[in-house]
Amino acid sequence: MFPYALRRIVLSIITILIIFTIVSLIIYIIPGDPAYIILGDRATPETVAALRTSLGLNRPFFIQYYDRLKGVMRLDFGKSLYDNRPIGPELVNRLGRTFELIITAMILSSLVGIPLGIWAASSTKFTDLLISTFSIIGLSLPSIVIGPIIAFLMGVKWKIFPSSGFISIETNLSGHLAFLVMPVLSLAIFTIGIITRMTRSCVLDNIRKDYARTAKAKGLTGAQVLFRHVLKNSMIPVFTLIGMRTGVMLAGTVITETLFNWPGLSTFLIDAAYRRDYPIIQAVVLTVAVVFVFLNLLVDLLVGVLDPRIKYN
Amino acid sequence: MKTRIIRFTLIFLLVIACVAGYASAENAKYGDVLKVGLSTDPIDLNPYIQSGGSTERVKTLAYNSLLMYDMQGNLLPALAESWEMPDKKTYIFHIRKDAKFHNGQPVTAEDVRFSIDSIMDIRTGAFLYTNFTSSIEKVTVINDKTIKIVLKSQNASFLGLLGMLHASIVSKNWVEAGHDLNNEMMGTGAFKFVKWDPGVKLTFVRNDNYWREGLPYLDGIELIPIKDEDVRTNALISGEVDFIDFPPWKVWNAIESRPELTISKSANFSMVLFFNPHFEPFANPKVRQAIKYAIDDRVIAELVFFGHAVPTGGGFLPPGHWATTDAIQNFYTYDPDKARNLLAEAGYPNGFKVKLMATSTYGMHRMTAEVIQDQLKKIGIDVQLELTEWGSTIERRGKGQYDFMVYAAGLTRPDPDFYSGYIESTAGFMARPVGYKDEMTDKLLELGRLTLDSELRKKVYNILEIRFLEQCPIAVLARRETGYAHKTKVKGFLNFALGYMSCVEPFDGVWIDR
Repeated sequence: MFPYALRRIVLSIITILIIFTIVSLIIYIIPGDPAYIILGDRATPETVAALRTSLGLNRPFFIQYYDRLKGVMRLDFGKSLYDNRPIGPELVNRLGRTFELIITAMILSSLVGIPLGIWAASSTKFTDLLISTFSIIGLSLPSIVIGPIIAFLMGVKWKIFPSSGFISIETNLSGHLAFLVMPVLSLAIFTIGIITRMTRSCVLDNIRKDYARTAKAKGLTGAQVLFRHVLKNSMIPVFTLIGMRTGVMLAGTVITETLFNWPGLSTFLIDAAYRRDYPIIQAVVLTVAVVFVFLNLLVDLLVGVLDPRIKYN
Repeated sequence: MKTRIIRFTLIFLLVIACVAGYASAENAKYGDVLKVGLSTDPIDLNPYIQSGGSTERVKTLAYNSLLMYDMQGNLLPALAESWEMPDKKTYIFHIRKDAKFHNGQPVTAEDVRFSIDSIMDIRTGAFLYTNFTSSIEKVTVINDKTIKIVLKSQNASFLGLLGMLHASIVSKNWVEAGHDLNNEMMGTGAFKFVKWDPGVKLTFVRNDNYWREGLPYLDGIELIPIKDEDVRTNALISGEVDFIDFPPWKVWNAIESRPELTISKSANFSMVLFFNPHFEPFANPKVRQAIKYAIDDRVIAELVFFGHAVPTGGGFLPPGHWATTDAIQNFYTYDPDKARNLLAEAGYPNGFKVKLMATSTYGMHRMTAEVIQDQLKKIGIDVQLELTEWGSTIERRGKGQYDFMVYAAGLTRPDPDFYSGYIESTAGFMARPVGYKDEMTDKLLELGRLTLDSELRKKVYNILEIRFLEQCPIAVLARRETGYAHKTKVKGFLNFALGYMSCVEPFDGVWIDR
């Protein structure tokens, strides 16, 4: 396992470096000069040149790339081209807020989806049909669809929760939780649908296998067969799905963050992209790449731990 | 006895006047924190940099300039309590004795000089860089509270520049101590900057040492960035915020139907078309005029702004402005037949093909472009839309890389010399990148600045506007209403129609009628 893990870590670092290089090249090439955006209506060739010099944007690509890479190696992401604030602390804040959304949504989705999937697979046909119907409805409601409905009903019409915004935990814990509910629901409903379907499918698949039949024949009750044997094997693909889904959510919370005005990583990146704040774009993309790559590695290693049949060599 | 009666009468009248004056301040109540849903997350806090209308409203909270405007566009003393002109090129400003920065330091002439020097430093990227460097010869500190500015030549529009947000006075000591104007604020305004938590909130508290006596009424202002217009509107309707900027036009009627909500409106910004004379048909003013005649502004007003825009037959100056006339306001009408005739006279009886650039980032730009495409088809002009993202649009506009383009423009300040910012051949941000040059326009703009007599200036700008409309380097389309939606109990907000970059201190007199 250890040599495999080491090899994967090295490959992950190379992957991240390639991603960083590609992103650096893309933002260098794409149209839209931040100096023009900063200067706005007063941009002239002279003022643009002066600003590009002061921001270091007039340097050749490789020098800018090398400088930024050096900084990243020291975990120094530089400063915003616009407000001159160090990017690192804000990146940590934003990452934390996005992770909070995702982790909470994934925990909720797992806590609801897995039991529902098991119930559907091991219960009556009617119960299975009911749960399957709800899970398909959930699958049909990605956050871009369900989010505005939740925001309107719960935030504006019924006023159960504040319709949008953010308060930090330190400022007000209950207020923070109140702001958290709707965006988490918006993310979780779709994922509950997926996890329910996947769990149901895996449990049904395993419950029909020979080992399960043998266990039953040896005198174990249905519940004992399910919880002692079937579940362990069924959960491997489900955990893989949860891991993958977490990574996908990390890259795709922009709708939720915009709808609920949650100041997370996605909106940080979108705003920076609009105004060509290169250091922020690179920092965020790099962060997402690191998290995604290592999340995948973690899931692979976890699966190896869960399933002794899997040998990494 | 007679003297006593007169004295008593005068005192009585004085008391009545004071009471009446108090009553006329609408019985404003002190206290409360105003929660504002802002359409943008400010990208910087530097008062010298142009950062968009929304961010600039934020900056006005903490900063003042030497002068300010009233709602009629008249210049008033601000940090300069008085000034004199010993000759036509020289201004001597006397700084208010009670003006202090938020850290308690008094405002001095050195701070004013430092501020002007910063604006004139090309590295700052200041909005007023060109205006100041082309106007100011020398700045001299006479004493702690007196500063002299000598201009290169007499300039009737110069004072108006000093009433703009981008001429704000900052603390020299504070900046030189290492603070960064881009992410902190140290001004003299009604509200003190406390904290900026990007994406979450900007917090300001009342400045107890504000030089405008009795103001502000509010204890503080919290600005919460809510970029999505529907989310922002919901936040207002659900009561989470008291005030929002730029409510989408599609919901104005719905907002106004609620008695607890109000929209403060002013029509000060127009959708426009910038023409690039390097694109051969547009080298001829008749073609540009033809396009203006062919566009029915009412369609733009209805479809793009849901009726909350005013068709425009004139230039940028709104009706009632001292430098325009009714005749100029009706220079253009919707007349597709005349458009076709003009095209034929210009040598394009069958029209031509052209690309229209507009940003896809803002719906109103994209939709205006679609309306124009449809309307120009009727006179034989085949328009291909180039919808570009905002950053690309700005760069291409700055480099003149378009045939014609949709943009939004309006008065930056009440003085009609703001036209130079658009169409002066060397400095105009529209003219310079595309090489638009009209000698008569340049001469009229210069004459307008050199003319100190107000009646003569009026005549100069009348001629300038007519020239502008005849040459049509910019087609001014529907003048849209800019709205600020708020709870009806929020009183005292000033929505200035004569210059979105001018200092009217819109939040100074705001109070909440709880």
